[in-house]
Amino acid sequence: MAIKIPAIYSGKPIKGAIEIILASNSPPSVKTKKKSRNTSQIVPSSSNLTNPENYILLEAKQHGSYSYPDMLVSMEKSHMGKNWTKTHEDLAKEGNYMLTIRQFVDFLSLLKSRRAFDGTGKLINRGKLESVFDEIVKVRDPWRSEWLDTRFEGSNIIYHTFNFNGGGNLVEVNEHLVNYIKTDKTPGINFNDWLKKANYQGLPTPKTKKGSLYYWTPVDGAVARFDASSGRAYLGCDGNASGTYSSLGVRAARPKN
Amino acid sequence: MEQTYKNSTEIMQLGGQPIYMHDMAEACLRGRLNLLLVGDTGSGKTQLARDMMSYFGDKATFILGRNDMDTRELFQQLNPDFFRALKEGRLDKGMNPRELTDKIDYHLIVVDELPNCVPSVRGQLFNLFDGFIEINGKAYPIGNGYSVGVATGNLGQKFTESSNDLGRALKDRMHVILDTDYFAPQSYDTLEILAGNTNPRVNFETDGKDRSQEVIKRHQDLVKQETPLEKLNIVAYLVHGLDYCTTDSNVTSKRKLKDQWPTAIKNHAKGSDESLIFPLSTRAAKSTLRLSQALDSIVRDKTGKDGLVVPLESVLQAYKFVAAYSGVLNEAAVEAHYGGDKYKALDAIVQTTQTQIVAKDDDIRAGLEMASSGKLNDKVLNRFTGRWSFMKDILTYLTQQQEANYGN
Repeated sequence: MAIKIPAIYSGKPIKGAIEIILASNSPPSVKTKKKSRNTSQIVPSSSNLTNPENYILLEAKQHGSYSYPDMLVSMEKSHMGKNWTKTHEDLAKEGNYMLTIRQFVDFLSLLKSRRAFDGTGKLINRGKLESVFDEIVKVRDPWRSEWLDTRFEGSNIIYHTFNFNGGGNLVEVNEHLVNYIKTDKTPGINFNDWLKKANYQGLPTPKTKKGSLYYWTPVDGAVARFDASSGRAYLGCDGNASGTYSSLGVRAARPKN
Repeated sequence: MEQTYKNSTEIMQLGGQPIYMHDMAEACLRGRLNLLLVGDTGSGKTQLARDMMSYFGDKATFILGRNDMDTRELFQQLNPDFFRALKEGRLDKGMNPRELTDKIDYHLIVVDELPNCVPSVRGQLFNLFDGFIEINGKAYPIGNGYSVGVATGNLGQKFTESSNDLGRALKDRMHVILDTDYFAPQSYDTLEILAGNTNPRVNFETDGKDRSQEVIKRHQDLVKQETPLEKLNIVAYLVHGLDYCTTDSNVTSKRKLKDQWPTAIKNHAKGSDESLIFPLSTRAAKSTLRLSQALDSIVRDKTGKDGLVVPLESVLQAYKFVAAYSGVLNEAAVEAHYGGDKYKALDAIVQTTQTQIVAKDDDIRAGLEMASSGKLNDKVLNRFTGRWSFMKDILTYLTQQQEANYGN
């Protein structure tokens, strides 16, 4: 039986594919390249932001040993349908990056407070904040999902932070997971209690009350995601970094100058 | 499908759509895939099977598996006229076998507590599921071209002989196996069930209407669809890529290791598929593809939109439900690394497989560009080594096929 060769394969055209692979000298590695702990990148600047009114100001916070500066967080998701690694790469090209779980928790708390400012310093309409909040967490159709800047390796958590002693560069933190719920909760944990009692890594602590927010505990090799659909909302620390879905994107963020 | 069985637990998300137990049952009917529901007593298996029967009116039959049932009683239950004709030896007296098998025109055969049946009865039941009946060593078709089987069984329940035979029989004849305990109904489903009535019996009441043609039409539409090459390649990976393994002495094939798999395998680490799972058989590969296509059609019907489901996502989800209980998993490794949870082990394999396939996407595209040119390119083919060696053969085959087309 004759098999038809498609012009598009796995979402991309086959034309020009030979040139692409032969341009690279060595075969690609399956594993994600592990960055060294000292690897750093220049912190992006918000000065070239053309639409600051579409960003929400997340004020600087200190949670134990973890802190971050004033941040601008996009009201809309972008980079839909890309895997976790590709999303990181493309955000970096734009001078943006992904929220850590801790920043995401603070961002949700801010949205819930219904009082926040945009990138121009203007107070944002309560209805707008409510709609951004609902878009992320409300249990309804269609399915929505966003990547978070957290990877798990064995009993470690890996995310990025700003090294203020080193000129504000972005550095990778690779440390032990601390004081978190080690079993899946399906359902669930209390959403408000998670926001209130999350540890400095953003994860729910064992003291978090029971509730309807589903929670999948960290899994070796997985990444974090927050999802909501008609069935449930959940924090998944068991996400597949190579997963790509049309409803899965990212909330771009960058430090405010 | 009527929904007297209530279960709001999502068993997967596909194209952003939740897929429930009823959707899987529907997908099996569309795909004409035999379904085995395993779970504890009272978990709702029989009720779900009964919901599936609601499509077929009097073209569905329900058989309660018992260990004292013989094939004569089975035939008697299927149709007394059929049994009488057999008993009177009318076949030997020149009766057309078709006249005889027409008396058994069921599209759906439900067998409750299948493991209770003795091997000879089970053998006939599996034949009926597959659309034929065996009389005096000859196979005769039944069900007018569409027949499918649904069976139930308790998890701890063994077939009347050894549990090895259970594995073999399932692998051979049941295409999809669902654990109803694993995807147990939500507490509010229970509330709704209890509020409805307090009759503890399975509710077999239906409107009696025969909607068989609706199901058969959907099945025919599904079968007519062309399977995308991307799906074929993914399934080829599950058949050949997952066959790759390394021992202390060499790189080899799990199939070739035979009984030495998985003990001879070097890599027993959690997350490695080498000692965890055996590759798919061709039969299971077909079931995976068929289920994937059927699930895609379910999502399409739910949303009214095409193209929502990514082929990789759809095939690997289908694979999970074809493979979990089909005997391909290394039970000891599942016990050691995943607490005996087969679905969790399959989730890990799905994740690893997804990573492998996504990482190879660019190379496969290049291979397909080579194939469409009709000219082999060693630099491209040499990208496929180790567990991907099989792809070299597929691409060579496609290139030669294209070359022959150009020649014509």
